[in-house]
Parts: sequence; structure tokens; C-alpha cells
Amino acid sequence: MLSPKENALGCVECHARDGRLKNLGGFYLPGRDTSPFVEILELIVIIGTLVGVIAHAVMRYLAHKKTLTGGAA
Amino acid sequence: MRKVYLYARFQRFWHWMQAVIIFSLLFTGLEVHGLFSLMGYETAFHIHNFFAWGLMGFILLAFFWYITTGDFRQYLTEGNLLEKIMMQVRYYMVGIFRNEPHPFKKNEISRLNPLQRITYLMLTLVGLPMQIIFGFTYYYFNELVALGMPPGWIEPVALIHTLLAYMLIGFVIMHVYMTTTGHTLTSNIKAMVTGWEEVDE
Repeated sequence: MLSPKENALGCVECHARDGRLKNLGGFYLPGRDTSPFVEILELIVIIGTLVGVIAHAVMRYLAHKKTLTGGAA
Repeated sequence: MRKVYLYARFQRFWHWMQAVIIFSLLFTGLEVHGLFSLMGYETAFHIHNFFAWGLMGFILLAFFWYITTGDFRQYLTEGNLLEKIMMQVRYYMVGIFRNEPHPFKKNEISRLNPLQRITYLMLTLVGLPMQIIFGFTYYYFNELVALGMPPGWIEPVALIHTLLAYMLIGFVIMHVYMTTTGHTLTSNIKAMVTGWEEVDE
């Protein structure tokens, strides 16, 4: 017998970190599963890019200030 | 300082449509991935799929435009590509701090430096098509399994799609920062809005 409509499940009841299927292994479930390797690698890439562009911007600012006040130009 | 007309109307339109589409895909994609919960998994999923068709449509439109107008030649480099890329890299690593001029002058005939050429070419011909192919494999996963694809492939497909998306975030950060390295901090962004860019004499 089919359950009544009111008992139908929404996507997010399973597609979530702590959803109904959190203990059912053996397959990849979007919204529940992640690969620690992918997440950590990308955290490094994204933070690295951010730190890189901020450091570059600061160095440009300092170099620019030096040109303005140092009389080199 | 002089002004040159660098970006035709279609190029600007395509650029900003692509920006909106990619931003929406990243945002909804991260929600489907479970990193935060703002619009809800189901809404994010539907919006993500909608913009996926948008991205594919626009990239095909852009290919058509670049081929029929011959503007794809902007992305080809004559001579030693690696040497020219390294000249541009050296500018960002050294020259920019010494107030040196840009190594490659922008003009109506050549609007992209060699580093831009290779980056955008790789993004448009390799990165985005791969992301679209893996994304649609994900989208039509059940149909493809019915046609004989091993169900276990969902994990590598999902992980590669996630990995490429995160790399795209890195590109966007870098890309937005690089817009500040023109003649003035905003001259590159202004050019992508109006078409006209202020360049060094």
C-alpha cells in the first residue's frame, strides 16, 4: 500500500549531512557526502589564492607609496 | 592616456551573462553540496539545473559568434607563446612593483595579453566544457545508468564536478583581482561595461 500524500518525503530529508540515510553506506549521495581530500585541497587552493592576491595588493600599495614619496620617479 | 574601444557589445553582453550564470551556479552548487542552507536543497537544485542549460546555451552562442566573426583570432599567439607568457608573469611578479609599463600594449587589434589568451582559451575550451559534461552526466545519471553506465561512477563524477567548481572559485578570485592591474584600478572593469578602456600611451 502506498503511504498517503502527507507522508511524502522532501528532498532534504535524505540530501543532508544528517539526513535519514546518514548511516546507509556504499553509495554517493549529493548533499550528504563529501571527499575530505577534495575539500581540503580546495580549501588550500582558495585560501592560497586569497592570501596571494591580498599580499600582492599590499605590495603594490607599498611600492606605489614609495614611488610617490621617494622621489625616484 | 588614450582611450581604445576594446569590447564589442556582444562580448560585453556575453561576459556579464556568463558572470551571472557562473555566480548563480557556484552559489546554488555549494548549497546542493551541503555547505550552507539558504534557499533550501530542492530550490537550489532546480535553479542549478536551470542555469546549467543557460551556461551551455551561452557557451554555444559564444562559439558561434567567435567562429563567424573571426574574433577567435584574438586568442591565438604568434611566435613563442611560453616566452610571451613568462614576460607577462614577470610583469605581475616584478615590473608592476617598479611602475614599469605593461609588456604588451592593448589596442583595437589585440586586446588580450598572452597570459589572458591562454587562460581564457583553457577556461572556455577545457575547463567549462569539462564542467558542463560532468554536470550533465550527473544530471542524467539515472538515464545513463539505464543505458549501461556503472552506478558507482556517481562518486567520481560528483567529486570531479565539485573539484572543478572549487577551482572556478579560485579563478574568479584571481580574475576579479587582476581587473585592478590596468591603467587605473578600475579601467579594466569600466572597459567591460562601456567597451572603452583607458590604456597607457
